[in-house]
Amino acid sequence: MVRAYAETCSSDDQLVMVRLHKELIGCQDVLSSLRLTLHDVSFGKPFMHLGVSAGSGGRMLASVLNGERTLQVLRAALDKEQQEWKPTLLRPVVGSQEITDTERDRAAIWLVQLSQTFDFAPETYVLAISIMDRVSQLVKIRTKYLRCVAISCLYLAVKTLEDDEVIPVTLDLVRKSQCGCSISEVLRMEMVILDKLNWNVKTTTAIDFLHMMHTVMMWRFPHLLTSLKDMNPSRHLALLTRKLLICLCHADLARDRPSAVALALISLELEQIFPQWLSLLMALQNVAQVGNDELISCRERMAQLLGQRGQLITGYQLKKSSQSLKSKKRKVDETDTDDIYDGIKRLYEDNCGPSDKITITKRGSCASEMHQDADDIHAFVQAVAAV
Amino acid sequence: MQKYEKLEKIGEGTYGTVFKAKNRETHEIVALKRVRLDDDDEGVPSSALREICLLKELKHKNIVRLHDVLHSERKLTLVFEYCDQDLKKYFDTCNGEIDPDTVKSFMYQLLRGLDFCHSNNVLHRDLKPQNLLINKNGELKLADFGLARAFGIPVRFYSAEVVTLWYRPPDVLFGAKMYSTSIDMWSAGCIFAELANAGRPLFPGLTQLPNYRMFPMYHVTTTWQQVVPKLNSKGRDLLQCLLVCCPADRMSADEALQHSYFNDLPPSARHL
Repeated sequence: MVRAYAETCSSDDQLVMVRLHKELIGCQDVLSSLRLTLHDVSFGKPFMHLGVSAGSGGRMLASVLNGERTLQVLRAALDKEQQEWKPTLLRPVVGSQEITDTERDRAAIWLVQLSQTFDFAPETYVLAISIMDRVSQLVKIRTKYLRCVAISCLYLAVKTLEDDEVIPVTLDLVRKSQCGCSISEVLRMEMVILDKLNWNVKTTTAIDFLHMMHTVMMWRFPHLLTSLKDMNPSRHLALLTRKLLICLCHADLARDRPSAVALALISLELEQIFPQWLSLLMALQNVAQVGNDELISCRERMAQLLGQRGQLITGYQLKKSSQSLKSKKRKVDETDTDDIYDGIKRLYEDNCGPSDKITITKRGSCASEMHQDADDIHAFVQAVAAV
Repeated sequence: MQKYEKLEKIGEGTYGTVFKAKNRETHEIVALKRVRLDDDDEGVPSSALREICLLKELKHKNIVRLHDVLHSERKLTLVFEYCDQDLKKYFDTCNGEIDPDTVKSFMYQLLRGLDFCHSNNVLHRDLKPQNLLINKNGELKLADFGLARAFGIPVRFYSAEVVTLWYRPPDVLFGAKMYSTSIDMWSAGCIFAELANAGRPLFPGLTQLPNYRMFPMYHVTTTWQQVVPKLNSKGRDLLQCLLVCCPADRMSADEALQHSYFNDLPPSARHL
């Protein structure tokens, strides 16, 4: 560790580090347990997915975040959703002073744009949109107050999910967002919202469900993406996240149950990459307990929406067979550069098409087999039933 | 505030004053944490908001219970269950002597509370004696979730400015931003040693990089027996499993609860 760290520091720093470490824990046996790698002390990279095939960074957390545990957490979240989620009402079309669906969608898009300006995590703005939708169910929001409500929802989501060093001061938020309201209006609205929601700010959103379902899927089917060119679990999740945001900025889809939205999105992707997608989907559906009607309805509307935006077809490319053979051989050297991936922001840039997005990754396939067959799915269903 | 009668000031929390109070109707004794809202223009402090959101979900006998949230124009009041004192004050009154069974019972409860947090995807990130509350009947409860956060998938990089320095693991001291439940396990190890030594902190005087100032605390030849002389060999083994520098190899709370050190835990302590 000292050596690894020293390589990245200037000479003065090196001395400091070595001394610090020696003094920090002088005991011999403690010193012998000093086996940190450079990966464990990494800076700056904002995003990392913990697939089953994670590299050394993943090993660090694998003990606490494995597929089985994720499945349990997913189950608990689904139970909670079952108890708490209420179908949302349709908004009046015209002629009232309340906000319409179009205005709601515009506010949602504005929140996503703002969040990118401030560098918030996708979980944060999805929560902000979810808070805004819940508030609009509880109170009639007039059009002229919508921006004030929206920015307050974002502020609450940021305070709930982001670390203190990322949370902007109210003045900055108000100024940079050009929301047109004063600090005191935002803060008063914040209190009103907390009161209306009875301080239940944090809920499991569609993006949380997407993350959990994706992890469970990658846990049981680690080879699902290996036949695809330039694809790994993190990339794939980043792609799905981007599509999810498009969906949630559409009031019609935001009315569906968050778990159903996540599952519908996964189903649309599976269909494009895996011939036996239907049986895999049914296994996932069995976990998520989403009814057929609900799933099909949500899936159809989602396909239509994504189709209109030119986002339905992801444009996955299959590997050439020679490449996949080669990558099998390389797998040992490359697994530790695996999975640390900074693409999520890049993927949010809306204008680049699916083909020109693929630029980085150097991921070696860790596949020992290329095909998932029906037996695997059967095993998955059994494993799910057993947990 | 008519519902509660203020009795006395207990202390200052990270973001407000804590009072002992009595519910006028039920006569139940509670702790009120009062947060002023008019100090600045930031509205509800993020630490208060996180504490409320997380504690609403975390209901466990080893985690302080949040009963209610009251607010007026200018202040916010969090109503907690009342506990007699915190572990720091307990250390001050124990005259350098804590019997081994009490150490074991406190450690067991700390790990059980922590295991509950971790299995609900919550990191405490500020474990220290001041944030562990003790009741006269020997119950221990985790409190002050102002720095706590939910963690999920995918793993993101979090703030390294968490955990009071003496209880901060070496990886985070070095600036690691990718951490998980292991961050709390190091603190738990430090607290374990402190319990075993009846309130003498394990790594006092640790300061932060780059303006670090180190005290040569332990000589290279120091043995674990010299560090925690009153702890038996099983206890020392558990301590070594918690104070592992590499976060991946640090023992988890639920593994620690299964450690043989707790084999002879009195049944009465198991039910606290």
